[in-house]
Amino acid sequence: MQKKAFYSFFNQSKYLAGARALEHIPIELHSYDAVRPLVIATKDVTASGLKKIFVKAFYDSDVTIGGFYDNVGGTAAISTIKELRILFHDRGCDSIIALGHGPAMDTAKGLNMLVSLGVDDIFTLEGEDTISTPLKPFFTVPTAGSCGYDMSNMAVIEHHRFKSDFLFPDVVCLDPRMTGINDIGRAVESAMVALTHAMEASDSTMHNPMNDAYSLAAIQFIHENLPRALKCPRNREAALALAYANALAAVAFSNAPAGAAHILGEALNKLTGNDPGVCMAILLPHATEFMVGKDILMRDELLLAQAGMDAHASTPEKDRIKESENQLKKLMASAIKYVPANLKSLRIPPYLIEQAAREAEASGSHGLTFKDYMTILNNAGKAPAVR
Amino acid sequence: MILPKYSEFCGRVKTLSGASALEAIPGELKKMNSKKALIITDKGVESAGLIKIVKEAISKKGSKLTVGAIYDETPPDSDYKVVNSVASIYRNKNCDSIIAVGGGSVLDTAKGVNILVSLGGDNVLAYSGAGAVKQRLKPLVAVPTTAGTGSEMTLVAVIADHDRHIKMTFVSYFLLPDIAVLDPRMTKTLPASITAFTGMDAMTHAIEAYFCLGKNPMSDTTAFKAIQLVSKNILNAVKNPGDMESRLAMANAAALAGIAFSNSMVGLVHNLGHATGAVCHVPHGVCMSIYLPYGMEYNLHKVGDLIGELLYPLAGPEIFAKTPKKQRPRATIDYVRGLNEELKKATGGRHATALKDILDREGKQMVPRDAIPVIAKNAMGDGAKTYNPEEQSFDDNIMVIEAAWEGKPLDLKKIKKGPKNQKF
Amino acid sequence: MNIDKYPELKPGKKYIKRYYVAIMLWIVGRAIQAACRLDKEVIKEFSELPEKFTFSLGVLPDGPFMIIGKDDKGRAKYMGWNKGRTRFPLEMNIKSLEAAIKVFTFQEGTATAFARERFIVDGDLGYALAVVRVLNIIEVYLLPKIITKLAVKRYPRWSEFSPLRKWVNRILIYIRAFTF
Repeated sequence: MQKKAFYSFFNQSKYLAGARALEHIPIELHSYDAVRPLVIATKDVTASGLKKIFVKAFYDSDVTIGGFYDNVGGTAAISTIKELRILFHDRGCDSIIALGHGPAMDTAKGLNMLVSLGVDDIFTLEGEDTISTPLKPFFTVPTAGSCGYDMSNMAVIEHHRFKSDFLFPDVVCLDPRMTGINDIGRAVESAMVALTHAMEASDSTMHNPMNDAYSLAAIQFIHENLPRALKCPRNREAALALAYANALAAVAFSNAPAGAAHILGEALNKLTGNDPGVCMAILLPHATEFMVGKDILMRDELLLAQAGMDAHASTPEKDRIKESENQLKKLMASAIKYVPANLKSLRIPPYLIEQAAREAEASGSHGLTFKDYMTILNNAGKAPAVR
Repeated sequence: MILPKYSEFCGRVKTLSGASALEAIPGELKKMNSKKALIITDKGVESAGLIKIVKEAISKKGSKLTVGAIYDETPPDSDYKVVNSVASIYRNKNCDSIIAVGGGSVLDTAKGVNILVSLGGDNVLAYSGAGAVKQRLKPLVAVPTTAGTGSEMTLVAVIADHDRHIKMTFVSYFLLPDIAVLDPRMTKTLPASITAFTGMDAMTHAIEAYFCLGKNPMSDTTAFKAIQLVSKNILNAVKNPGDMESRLAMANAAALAGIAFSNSMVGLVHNLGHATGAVCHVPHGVCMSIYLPYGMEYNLHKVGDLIGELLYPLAGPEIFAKTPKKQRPRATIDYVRGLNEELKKATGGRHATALKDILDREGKQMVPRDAIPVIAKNAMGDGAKTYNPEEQSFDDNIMVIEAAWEGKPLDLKKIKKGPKNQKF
Repeated sequence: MNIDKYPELKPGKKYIKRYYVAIMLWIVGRAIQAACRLDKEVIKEFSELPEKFTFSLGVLPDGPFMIIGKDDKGRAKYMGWNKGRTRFPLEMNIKSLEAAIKVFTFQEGTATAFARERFIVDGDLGYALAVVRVLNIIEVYLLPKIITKLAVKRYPRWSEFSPLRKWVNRILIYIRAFTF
């Protein structure tokens, strides 16, 4: 424990994880005195047959789904949110369930702000801690694939960013019927975002035992289950574990400052359109190595989460950090099909690399300079493939 | 990591931790639109000077928070009449939040008061049961003064109706405090023996959470951390009570253990411990420390692997690596017994390691041998046994309590065993 | 947006599963009543419950249920399946029909079901434990050992539950449960 260091930690979400988790939703809604949720889902949910399973889970309950909106596309749009407000009020809804991934959750969070706070323009609430009263009950049912913000206390709507503890979902329902992997590439990208968030949260100078419990659990889930999922994407248990990891990493991310790999990954995504998970995965080993060099240590507890008690205990103390770095590289190598070995393969023009470093420096996190970010980017640019 | 077929987890209390965590209370209450707090506590906490520290901390420059009233007569067993009358004080003084400073019964009383002042009415018993409270209550800040029961993290309040000799249970996520404040100043003056047994209470919560039937990934990680913190800090907290780092670590351990057990439930140790406390009025933590090794022995055939894993956070990686896997469960149990012995030495013999050695303030034995069947019978009605991996009959209880009374290890051959190797 | 494209969805019913659970609850209820006239342990458990004690065991939100009370002689009495709006001193509710199916197809024993948060218990926990002990005994009577072992933590040994007691009472309970 850091001597006398002050920390503050919060997570609103309750996790239901496992067989028949969906069928617990009506009772959970009841505990909030809610009986008419509005369901907001991404397009793929109906297409992949998950809508049917979801709706059937409400059979024999006394919960009526006020409306099932399954047309959320690639991003959350304020026009959609405003139209959903009409649907919400028309049906007398009292709660919101987001089903699917990223954009559904952002749309739902936007709608919740609109219907709970009596504002006409949610963009006036942009920023951190601008919400001061609780919102209506908000549940999420993630499918495989997460952008890292879904189950966090943040929302991104048309490039406007919102951060508030009141945006956390009240309940996160992880049901193996929903979290099964259809697209292993996307599952890998989500796992990489989660891993980056979890590792950087546990590295950060503000780490604490509460946040560590979440980040280390996420790291352990990913190290144990990503190889299993890569080998057999149909493995439901591995898929569920990865979805749980996404949820836990989102909490760790909500309670710690963003790390270098996240900041650079997001900047590259914004500038080049490359998937943020892929960028973060390439950058992560180099960012952590850089931080070790700067005395922001990777703690040897990470090895415990990555490799388990026996491996950690039998590694001499002085070698644990190096071994932890090796474990990370090994994991990246196993996902080589989906995560290129280095930035070079993404063919990003040098001027955009520099632009990303500049934007990262402007974010002010960890006091890193343009030069520091360029070092990380250059190391990531020329790293050889690990076999 | 074991991912059970189905599990739930919720750790919804905001945690503030640090050497000056109390000073953060006014800012947090301001965010919740609160200006006037009612402090609920008991005479013990008040006379230890802790309320003075809290008042000073929350009145520092810049704080807009005032104290509407202080109620310091909370009885050791929360009572519904007290709850009803404290609610009147809250209303009369126009308070809009509660700061509960104390242990389990202060917290339960505060939760009960919060129900009434938020939902209306004049009798808290109207809201008893599971899920009767369905909306957000007024702000409640929990400041634990032991490390601890972890009750700042639980969604249950137990309030007694002494007229009818029953205890009413209130269960709802809305009963959780909004904020838990872990400040080492609150446990700095805790006497050695209380530090020892409340620390072992936290240890028991974490260990039982790790192997009982409600086990889940997040309760495992929080329990693991809690065990590491207790193991590293409990002896120092007993021997060097002014060491703020150890005190803060123990407060964190108790909170983490509270999160773990409230999500995973507990087993035989709490089952027999509650019964012993109810029949012989032995403090909860004392029962926990004595029964803990027995709880592990009793369930060894079911969850031996998990008990073996606990050697890691208890004794550290070096001893874990040196101990062959098959010997780890026994090593864990021996470690806990050893820890109890060291605590006994450090408290000048006051930390008992056998039921027969528990003495009250006058030096009188608190658990006579003939109380054993009464305790065993009482334990049959305690819910904690539901989540214990192995079944417990009346005869099984007698066997374990007798061994704990003598302070001798359980004869594993005498345990009636169900199927081995528990699946989750 | 044409909101009519997104109609409300009222919950349907899974009739086969409902009927299955209803029948199982009926059998268990009748078996408890019968066992309370035959088995010394069940008789003892009920004698220690308060006079006029009643409890319900069933599926939220609206059944099926099993309601058991005590008759004038202090023995268990099966009181039907319809809970109505009554609140019982002890209510053991299973959160969903699917969770009830898990319990009544023995995929999850009672203790496992509790650990997996399938139950909500409202009322005195001590009485709930007595009910669980009675249910364990009923399962030993009603089901073959290979299935009961899935439902209980520890199958009773011969010394605790003699084969004679088991087989004689089993036949009698089946007869009494299915006849009026």
